[in-house]
Formats: sequence, C-alpha cells, structure tokens
Amino acid sequence: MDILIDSLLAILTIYLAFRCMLAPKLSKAVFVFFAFGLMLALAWIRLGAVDVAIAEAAIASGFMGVLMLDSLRDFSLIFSKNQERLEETASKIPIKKDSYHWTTALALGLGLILFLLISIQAIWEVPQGGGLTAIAEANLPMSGVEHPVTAVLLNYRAYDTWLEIGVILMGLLAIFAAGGLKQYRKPGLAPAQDPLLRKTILIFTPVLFLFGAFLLYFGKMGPGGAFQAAVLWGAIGILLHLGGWTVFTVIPRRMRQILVTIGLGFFMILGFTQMATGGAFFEYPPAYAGFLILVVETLAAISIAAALTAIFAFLTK
Amino acid sequence: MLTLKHFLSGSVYDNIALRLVVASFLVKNVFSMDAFFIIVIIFLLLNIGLGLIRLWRGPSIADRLLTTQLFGTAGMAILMVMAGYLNDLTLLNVVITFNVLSIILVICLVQVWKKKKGEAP
Repeated sequence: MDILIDSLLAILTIYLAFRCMLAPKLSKAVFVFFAFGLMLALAWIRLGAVDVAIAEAAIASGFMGVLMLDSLRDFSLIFSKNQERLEETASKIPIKKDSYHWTTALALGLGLILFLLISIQAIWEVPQGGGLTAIAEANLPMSGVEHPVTAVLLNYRAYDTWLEIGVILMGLLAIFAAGGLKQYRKPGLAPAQDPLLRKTILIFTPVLFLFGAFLLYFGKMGPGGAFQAAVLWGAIGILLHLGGWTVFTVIPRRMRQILVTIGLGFFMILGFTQMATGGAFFEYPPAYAGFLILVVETLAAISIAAALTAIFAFLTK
Repeated sequence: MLTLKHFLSGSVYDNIALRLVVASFLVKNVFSMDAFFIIVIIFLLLNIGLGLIRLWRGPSIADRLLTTQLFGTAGMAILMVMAGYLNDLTLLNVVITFNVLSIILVICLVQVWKKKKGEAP
C-alpha cells in the first residue's frame, strides 16, 4: 500500500517540476514552484529525512516565497511599463533561424545516456554496509547531543556548518556590494494603517519567536536546529518590515554588523581556542560539548536570522 | 464447498462462526488503521492534484496564492496523518514550521501588491 502513496507523490513532484519549468508566465511558474516545494517536503518525509523536510518547508515555502513574490511584483511592474517598447524592439530585431546543430544534439544525447547509465548503475546495488551510520551512532554519547543529524552537523562535521554560515554572509555581502539592486528599487512601504494587518503581525511575532526557540532547543534530541530556527526568527524581521516597521535599518550600523557576523565569529573563535588548548579544530571536550553546541547554535541562529532579514530589507528598499 | 453464489445470497452469514471470521478478516486486512491512514493520505494528495487546476487557470495572483495556501493546509493534514501512520511525532515539527510561516506569504501579497494600480491583487 505504501507504493501507492510513493508513486502518487513521485508523479505529482515530477509533473509539478515540468510544469514549473514550462510555465508560459512568471506568476504561474512561481506558484507552481511553491506547490513543488510542498511535494518535495512530503517526499523527504517519505525518505525519512525529517530535518531536510523542515528546512525545505522553512526556506523554500517561507523565505524564498516572500523573495519570489516581491521580485514577481517588480518584474510585472517593469513589464507593464515597458511592454509596448519591448514589443517594438522585438519586432525590429531580425529573427535568425537556428540551423540544426546535430553535433551539439549528439553530444547532449550521449552525455544524457551516459548519465542515465551511471545513475542506474549507482542505484542498482543497495549498499550493504550502511555507510558511517554505525560509527556515528556509536560516538553519540560523546557528542553532547542525542540526535544523530545534529551530532553530524555541529560536532563531527562542524567545519562544513561553519562554512555554510559563511555562505549566507557572502550572499548578504553580494547584495550590499550590488547596492540592493538599484534599478528595481521602489518607494519604501508605509507603516501599516490597517488595524487587522497590525494586529496580525503583532500576534504572529511572539508565536514565531516561540516556535523558533522551540525548534532550536529541540534540535538537541530530534529534528530541528539552528537553520530552521533562524528562518522562523528571520520571518519576524520580514513581517515587521512588511508592516512598515523597518527594524533592521533603524538599529545602529555597528550593532547590525555584530548581529550578522556573531555566529561565524564565535564559531571561529571557538575552533581556534580548541586548537590552542591542544585539540583539533572543532574538537569539543565531551564534558561541555552539549552546552557549547547549544551556544553555537543560538548565536548562529541569531546571525542567520539577521542576515535573512537584511537580505529582504535591502532587496526591497 | 463455498462459492460466490453463497456469499451473494447471504446464506453463509447465517453461520455465526463464519461471520466472525469474515469480520475479523475485514478488520485486519481492509479496515485496519493503516489502511485508513493510507486512504486518507491518498485522498488528500488527489485533493492537491485537483487544486492544481485552479493554480493553473487562476486569473489573478490572489487566486493562485490562496490555492497554495490550500496546498499548505492539505500538506499539513497529510503530515499529521503520516505522523500517525509512521508513528513518528517529530513530523509535527514540520507541521509547525509550515503553519507559522504560511502567514508571511499572505501578508507579503497584501502589503506588496496592493500598491499596484489597475489590477486587483
């Protein structure tokens, strides 16, 4: 009976992916992409990866959704303004008829066939050893947490997680460097006058904070963790910005810089302190591992949340 | 020798023992809790599939956004049923995340699109 659910899920996911790519209008593509994200989260659940499903739900349908809706509005404004001009220029450009490049087609086809063969060969044999699962489970008592995924992310492979926080910071720096996409800039949003909107935002702010903190702490013993909590906390900043309270641009510049970099910085200081005291990079002493991981996760969540808010605030300036 | 004719005419069910056997067979294999969960999940998935029509045809952005909200609700329901089916309560964390984040899309639509003149959001 499980195969029925799985096949239905797979068919819907692949169908939505095709629909998203082949959509004639941007608005259709964006909303089909939301539905695709939901299907993907369900698929991750069926594969047993609850952590990935939470991240998918939080980032793809929450954060990315807001960014996509916002840019969709920008694009539709530009299109409606320049529609006539675009059509005029389009009619002037001579359409060059593409000749059929059979060499390109052949190379593409051969590559695809090769890729298919390799992937079939990869999934044909199910690995018997179970990979590193047994070792990860065996060292769980020393890692300071009870959930294997959190142990891998923040203890065994802490280096990767540290660099991932850096990637988000790099994205923010790229937006700063580009000046917040000046050509799509629009007038700032006025503070919300609508009482319904004000109330909704003010009610949802503490709820988001509470569930973010819950996910952060729950990461110790189950699916959850810093990144998922950070998206919920970042949603607070996005909500307040949408309501017209521009919290991120109001707080002092130095404070903003500290907020955005504190996760990466503390992680790095911790790593070098461990090196100075004779351990390896990111080798926690087992006695304090749980506490240190919680502090690192909290600071990382704060700085990722600040970075996500900043990305939204400066893209829609 | 039991044949289909006996079952259809109902004469077999006069035997109480046979009736119990048939009932327990049905409870175990057809009307069990797992089967119920699977039927509900499939029903909700088909529901999402039907909602795609409105997503594809919806004339305005608001129609499409409300459809995705419907998908979110159906997805949450699927996750909750799956939590019962797989006996894994941590799936409820995903439900919480979907639930509290679904509001920001609606508020984004209301706040960002209302400034555009000419077309209702």
